[in-house]
Amino acid sequence: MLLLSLIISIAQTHHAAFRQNNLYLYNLNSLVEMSCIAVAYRIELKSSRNKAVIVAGYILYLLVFIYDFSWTHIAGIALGVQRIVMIVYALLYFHYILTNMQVQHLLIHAMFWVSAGAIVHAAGTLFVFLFVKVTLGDLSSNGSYSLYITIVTTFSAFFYIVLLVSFWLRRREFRLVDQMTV
Amino acid sequence: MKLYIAVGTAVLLVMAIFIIVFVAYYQQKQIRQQLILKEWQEKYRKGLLAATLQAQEHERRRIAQDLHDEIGTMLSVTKLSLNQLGRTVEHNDPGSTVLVQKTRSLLDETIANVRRISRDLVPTTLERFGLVSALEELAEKASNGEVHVELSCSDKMPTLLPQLDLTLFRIAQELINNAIKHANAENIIIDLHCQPNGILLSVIDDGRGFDLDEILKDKKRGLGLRNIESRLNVIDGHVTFDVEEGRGSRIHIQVKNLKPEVEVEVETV
Ligand SMILES: Nc1ncnc2c1ncn2[C@@H]1O[C@H](COP(=O)(O)OP(=O)(O)OP(=O)(O)O)[C@@H](O)[C@H]1O
Ligand SMILES: [Mg+2]
Repeated sequence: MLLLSLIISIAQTHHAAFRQNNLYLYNLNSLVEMSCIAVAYRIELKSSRNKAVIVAGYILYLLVFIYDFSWTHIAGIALGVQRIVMIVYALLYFHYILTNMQVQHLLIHAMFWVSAGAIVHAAGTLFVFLFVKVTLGDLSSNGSYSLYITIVTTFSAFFYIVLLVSFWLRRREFRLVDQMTV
Repeated sequence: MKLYIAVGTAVLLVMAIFIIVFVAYYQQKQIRQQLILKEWQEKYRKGLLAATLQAQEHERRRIAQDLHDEIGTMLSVTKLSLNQLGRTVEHNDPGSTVLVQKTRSLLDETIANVRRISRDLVPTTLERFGLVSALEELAEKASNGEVHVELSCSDKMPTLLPQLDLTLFRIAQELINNAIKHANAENIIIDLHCQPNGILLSVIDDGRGFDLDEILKDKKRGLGLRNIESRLNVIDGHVTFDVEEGRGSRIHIQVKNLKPEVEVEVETV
């Protein structure tokens, strides 16, 4: 978890620096993001059924990604599918939290915030990417591109901030566990 | 089209936030319920333990009463009739007088034993004069030519709840029994301390000590130490074994909370 969010942050800065020129970075960033999230959830969710769902979602995403990938356009369908899969993951994790009563203090539990951030991020940007032709396809259409790109960046920024916070929470959890075992 | 996208996004967002809030709320509620359940179970277990201990005391009291009232009375009556028999025998058959004398002394001894046993079963001194006197009496009774038991009680003791008194007394009894039975000790010190936040009872002997881990592993071990733990469980006390093979044992009992949650009424005579 610790490393994952760091990598994502680096990817994000990277991607922010080149955003205007290189649209394909959106696609690559999505791939990195998705991979990290899939790994994180696979580690956190213990039951084999959940793991199977996560792997299946990831494979589905990969297939769509390969089919839809392009260096010059935003791969709208792939990104849309990514959002949907992220929502599924987050819901899975919520279900897991509610059925497995392991977490004592939910509000300082890192994975809960990751899931919350992921679900908000995904819900906020799902339609923008699904209908990418209308929203981001046409660079010239009087300012709507910048409007949508602002929406997307805002949600991404929000998600990364949440990730950072949960990264910090997670470190605290580790420290607590350490204290308990000492 | 743009309107649809905006509305769709808004709906999705609201749903997402709703789901998050719902999960957070529901989970906290469940956790709270679980905690309450756990607390309740713990309380129930303690109550059960307390009830068992109380039943044990109750049973002892009943046995002591029966011993004293029935067997004791019967023995007294027997002694009376033996005295009558003795008088008639003296007239008719002076040779049997010795036998009558012997029977009488046996009977006296039995009566004394019955009295002692019925008194030991119920700690009367404890109920009448409190823990310190009871421990003093205990030390006095246990001391003989080989062992010397001493009570050191540095502070003025506050009056404790009868339940606490009884628990501490029974524990001290078992510890002294152990020290005499297993340790081959010469000196045993009962140390009763009143601390600002509780009571410390230590039993220190200079016997041969033992290896606590080994004893705890032993499946066929006696009930004494286990009983101490369950008694302490009821009154939220702690026991520390400062023991080792080859040197005397020090066993400390600490009770912090002088007002136990599980109230048990102890009958008084
Ligand atoms: N003060 C002591 N010195 C040396 N050994 C001890 C002492 N106290 C306890 N032990 C050891 O610990 C063992 C367990 O003691 P415990 O009181 O639990 O059982 P017990 O005295 O054998 O049986 P019970 O108390 O049920 O009659 C004893 O058998 C003895 O070997
Ligand atoms: Mg014993």
